[in-house]
Amino acid sequence: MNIEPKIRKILLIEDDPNLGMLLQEYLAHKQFDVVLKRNGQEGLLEYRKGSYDLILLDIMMPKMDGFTVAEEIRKDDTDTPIIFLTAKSMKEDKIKGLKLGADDYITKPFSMEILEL
Amino acid sequence: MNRHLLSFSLALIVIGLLGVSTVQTLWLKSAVQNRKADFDQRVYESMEEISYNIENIGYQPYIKEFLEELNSDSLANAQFQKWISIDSNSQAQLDSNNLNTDAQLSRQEFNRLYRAQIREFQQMLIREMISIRPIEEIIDIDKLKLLIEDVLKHHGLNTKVEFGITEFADNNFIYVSPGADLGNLFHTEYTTKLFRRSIFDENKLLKITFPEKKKFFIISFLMPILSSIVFLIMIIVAFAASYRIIFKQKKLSDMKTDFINNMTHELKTPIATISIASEMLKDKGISSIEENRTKYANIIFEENKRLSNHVEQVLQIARLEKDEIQLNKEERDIHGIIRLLVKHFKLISEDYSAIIDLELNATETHYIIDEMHFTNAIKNLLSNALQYNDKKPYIVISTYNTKDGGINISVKDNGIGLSKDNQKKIFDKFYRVQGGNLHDTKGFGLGLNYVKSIVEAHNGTISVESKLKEGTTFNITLHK
Repeated sequence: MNIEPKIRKILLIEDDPNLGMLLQEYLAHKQFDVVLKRNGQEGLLEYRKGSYDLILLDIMMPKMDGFTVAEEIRKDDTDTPIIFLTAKSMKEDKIKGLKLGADDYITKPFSMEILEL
Repeated sequence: MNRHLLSFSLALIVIGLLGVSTVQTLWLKSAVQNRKADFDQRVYESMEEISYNIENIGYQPYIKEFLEELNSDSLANAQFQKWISIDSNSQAQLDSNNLNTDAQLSRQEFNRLYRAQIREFQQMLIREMISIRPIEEIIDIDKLKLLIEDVLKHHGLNTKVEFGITEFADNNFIYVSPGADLGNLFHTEYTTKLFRRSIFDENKLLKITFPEKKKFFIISFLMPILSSIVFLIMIIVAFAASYRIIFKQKKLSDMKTDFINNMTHELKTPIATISIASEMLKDKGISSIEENRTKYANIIFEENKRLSNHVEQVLQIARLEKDEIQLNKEERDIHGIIRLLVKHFKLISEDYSAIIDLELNATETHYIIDEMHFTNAIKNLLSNALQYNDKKPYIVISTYNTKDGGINISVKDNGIGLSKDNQKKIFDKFYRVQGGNLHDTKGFGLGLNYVKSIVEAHNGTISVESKLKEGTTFNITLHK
């Protein structure tokens, strides 16, 4: 992927507090600018407010699930890369995610190297 | 695609059943027609037989009687004597000839002529007399009735019969069996000459109707129709039952898939968190700071605890399923347990800023229970009351003694409530009010199933009352 050099601002949408916090700190440590949102609805609002280079998205979340968020984002933006971060590892879910326009799919537990792109 | 197969087979079954019922109906229709033709055939055969046999009960006895009368009848005798007197002259002559051969022949010839003349005379008289005599004297009506019934029965027409006799015209009834409908008799197609072989009286017709013909048909088709219906119903019921089972299984398997998804999510999240935290600890740049080390170590510790909790919960249910639950029952003070639990629970539920009120009204509070499982059960109800709430949680735990010495413990909340449909299902294993990817609340769908199992292991009962948006109350009743 040649998007790597441009990515600076990341929107992280993850409902688990520990995991979200860790990811945020880790990515911040890697010199990324990370905004963390706790559920799909807030994430989508945040996405509409600012401009992001990458969206990291959990699937199973309160208020609005990750698939719906991705769908909403893809309605008017086909450029911003979306990566699903999820525990769901079933094929149908992967296909569904990629069909919705996600750029990649990372299943939990994941190693940080993958996130480093 | 599974669903397509299911609806395809459902369509096949519906078409098949419709086909079978149509074929059955058509078959029955043609069978009814055949049966009608067969009925008519039998009636015509019967009537033929009746008219042959009428001569036995009607004419012949009457003729016999008539012949006897003839001998004593003066008018007839006078006529007769005239014949005889001519005869006796020649007879005397013959006698005097003393039985020669010629005379013998002529005597035979005479006898032949004599008998023929007598027969002709008799017939004339009979014809005259019969036509003027009332029918009851010509034929014994009771015997005729018996004959008709016997013959019909013999031909398999065991149904009520009415008959009438007409003379000269279709509607000129000279006899009608008691209770018979004249209109039916007039229109009936079952008609025969009463004295069919008779040359004396050919104007009388016997007419038969079957007032219960319809009933007779219905009865003779009752069995095949009923059994067809019963078998069809059996097939439909069996298919409906199979479909119910299939759908139930499908739902269960959906629920299990949901559970597995849910479980992987619940298990993998702490694993992912631990893996990231440990990676960060490995990173020298991060772990060189003392504060970071403690923070990440704490996270690992917490997540590990979460993991083992999850595993324990799943194992607990697995044990319950195998009925391996070991209750360590001892006499315990239920109010004491509730107070202690609420004290702990308030600490762990600080985030929710919930209010938990106690209305412990029971006077008898000592029951034989397993403290650990009982506490867990109440705790599950409390955490549901917290989780399924969109307002500031207000929970009331109340107790009272029942009339038979038991205790009722209720946990009432002001949460989101349950729909009627959900109220039925919440105690089912793996059932979660919210399925799919939306995760407002975490859980495996095992909590209430566990509560129910525990209450039942204590020979107690659990019930739920709820109204959407207003709240839910769980009632547990334990017996002494």
